[in-house]
Amino acid sequence: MTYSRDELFELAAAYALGATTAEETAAVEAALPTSPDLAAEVASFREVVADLAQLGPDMPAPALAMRERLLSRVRREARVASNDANKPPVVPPRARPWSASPRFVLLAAAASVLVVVGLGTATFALLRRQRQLEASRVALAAHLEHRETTLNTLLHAEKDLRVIHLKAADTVKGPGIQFFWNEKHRSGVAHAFRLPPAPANHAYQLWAIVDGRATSVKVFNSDPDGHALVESLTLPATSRGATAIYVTVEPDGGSTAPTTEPFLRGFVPATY
Amino acid sequence: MILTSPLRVGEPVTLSAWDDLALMYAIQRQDERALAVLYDRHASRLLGFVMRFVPEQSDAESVLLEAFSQAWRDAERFSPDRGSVISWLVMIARSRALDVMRAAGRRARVTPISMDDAPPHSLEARDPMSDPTYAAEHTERQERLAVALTKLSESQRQAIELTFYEGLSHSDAAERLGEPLGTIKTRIRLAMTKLRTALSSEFGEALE
Repeated sequence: MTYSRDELFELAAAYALGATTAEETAAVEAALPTSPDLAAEVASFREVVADLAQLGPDMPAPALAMRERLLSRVRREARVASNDANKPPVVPPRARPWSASPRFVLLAAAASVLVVVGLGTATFALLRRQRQLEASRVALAAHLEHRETTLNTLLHAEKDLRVIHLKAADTVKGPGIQFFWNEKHRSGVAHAFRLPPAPANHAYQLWAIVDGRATSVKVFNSDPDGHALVESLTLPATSRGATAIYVTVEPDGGSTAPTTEPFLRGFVPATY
Repeated sequence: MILTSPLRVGEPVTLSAWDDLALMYAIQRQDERALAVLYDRHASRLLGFVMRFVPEQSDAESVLLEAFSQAWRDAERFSPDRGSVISWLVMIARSRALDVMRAAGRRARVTPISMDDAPPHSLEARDPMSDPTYAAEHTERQERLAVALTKLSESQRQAIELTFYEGLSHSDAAERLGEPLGTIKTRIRLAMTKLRTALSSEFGEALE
């Protein structure tokens, strides 16, 4: 059965829920690669499904051993795959030629093997190239999405963009952070520089000091080159009452309240 | 052009600061540390979900193990154009859970969904690998979803429960309820559209 565009769109919600029949599922999946609109529709319903799945009071902690079992399993599978790849190909014994012209048969067989090997190699190379291109495309799309989010945070703020400079004691050679606060959308972006990665098992944590209380903004770490672009910051609806932005070193995963002295500080000007 | 990370060019030190998409890309490159972080971030919530289908925790944990193993093997099939990483994991986990449930010949535990299902101020404590911002966003979405669910009609909620939590196709749901298939399809579409609107509206305004 052929489905019209409208019919496929009407199936999008049920498809995302996993409620379509096998035939309908196949029809939607066949259309997805060539229909970005349909893919976007399905993606938006899948976010609802993800939230539905996480709704509920039961959130037991999985047994600790589960994590190790998972990692052991994937390591084992990786080893098996690696061993398989290193095995020499199994060559079946060749049948004895029945023709009265063994030389011709041998030549023909050799030519066939060359053709098969050539086609196989070309196919393998094409598949590998396709995987590489797809991986690059995914990475590039994600990279661009992050850049766009960052840019939107800055541009969409219009007149409601606050820029706060966080500085260390050494304001010349020490680390620093440019903190961009989009009051309009309660979002923000921070760019850290000359900030070495946090010590082992630790991370950096951004805090907004609002009405005298430290509110966690984000846990992050920097790259080996001393930079970090910290995105998707969720901030209070207004910078009123906010007096400062701090950074502390905290255990990996962050803390509910600062446990060390802030080493980077930026003050929100009173005129804001 | 090969990028080492969608977050920025360069190799960040702490994977726990990466978002799901960046972790997924690392998993596509067979980085098992990224799989561990993704597991730490979502295993508890997914286990709660799987236990709706497979109530015994040890069985549910096996389902979860299968689901994450499949995510590792099929990582290259993940496409961000078709939904987030968590939505992809949810559908894998649901599929594996339904396999087990059907093999055991039982039905899912369909708990009526209500505002009481939005618990979430305990999320941070239960999932220490999540950063506070992520937990806060998650909490807000869950609260909005719980409110939105109360605004669906009883028949719309039932259609969602039968298809999503019991794993029935809309045809099977129509047969179970003795209703025309078109009616069930419409209920599902309307219900999902209402929930999507509630989750995407910036200020979480009330549904019509």
